[in-house]
Amino acid sequence: MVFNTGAALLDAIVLAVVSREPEGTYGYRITQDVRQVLEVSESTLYPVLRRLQKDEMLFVYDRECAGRNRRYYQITPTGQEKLREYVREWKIYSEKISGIFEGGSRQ
Amino acid sequence: MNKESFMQELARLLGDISPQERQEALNFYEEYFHDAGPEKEQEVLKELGSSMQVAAKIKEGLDATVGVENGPQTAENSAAQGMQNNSGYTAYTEQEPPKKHSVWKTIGLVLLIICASPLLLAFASVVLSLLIAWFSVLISLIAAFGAAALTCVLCGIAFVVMGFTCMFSFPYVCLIMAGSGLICTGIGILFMMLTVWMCAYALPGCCRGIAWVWRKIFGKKQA
Repeated sequence: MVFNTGAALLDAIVLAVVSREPEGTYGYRITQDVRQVLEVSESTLYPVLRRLQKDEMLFVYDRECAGRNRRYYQITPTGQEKLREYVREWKIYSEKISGIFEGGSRQ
Repeated sequence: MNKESFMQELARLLGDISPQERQEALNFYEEYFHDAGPEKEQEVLKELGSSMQVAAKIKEGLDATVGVENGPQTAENSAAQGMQNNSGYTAYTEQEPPKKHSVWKTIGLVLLIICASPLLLAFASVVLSLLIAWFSVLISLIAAFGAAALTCVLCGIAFVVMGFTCMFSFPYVCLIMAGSGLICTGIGILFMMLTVWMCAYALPGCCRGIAWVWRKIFGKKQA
């Protein structure tokens, strides 16, 4: 991809990916889902998840799976609020840019 | 490189963060390898990059949580920064020394100039007197050549005139006189040309040369 992804956009995408699973989802799957839309290194996601967890956007719990514990991430109400804000901002931002790209009339 | 050595290396590199954070990170990657499955182990290792890179990103993430708004840093940029400096302080310490260095350099230079001032004065006066001498020589040469030219031309003309006036009384002597008068005039004209050349080229050339040397020595300070 030619465009850089800022920290805020990465946060928004991770929150969106996690929010799709009501039961929560785990690190490997989050990484794979994010990597479907964004070229990020696998090592980029852990710090993001950890930070979102500390900011109480994500809630973690361990669930036993095939004889071992797996950490699940679930979105919190604060996280959902933040995600809505991100989506709103993204709409404005992307519409403005698309407007310029598609040669729309000047305001 | 396999998963075990990667995890060991990562644990070692995370030795300087809190045990809780270290355990969190190690658990994450342990789980990550497990979920990817043994058949994808090499692929994951390749994608993760070196354990140093991974550790740098984890530590950077810990630094970033202090100030949540970390600016629009891209994931790729942060990775590159993480590789270069583990903490954010390196950037500052790297910028500080050149400043100090230049300050000391200036002080040293000033001290050197003060200490060497007697020597510098002597040197300057030598250079100045050499310059004055050189100019006096040049100007006197011009004056001498000019005088020679004038004398030769005037004498030559006088000889020629005298030669022609007595042509009928003493033809041979007068012809010699007129001839030598013409030669004298010729030499005078040559001297005149030399004088003109010196005034037109040699003098301005010397001035330009001195100006060039001056610029070479002092030009940097003025710029």
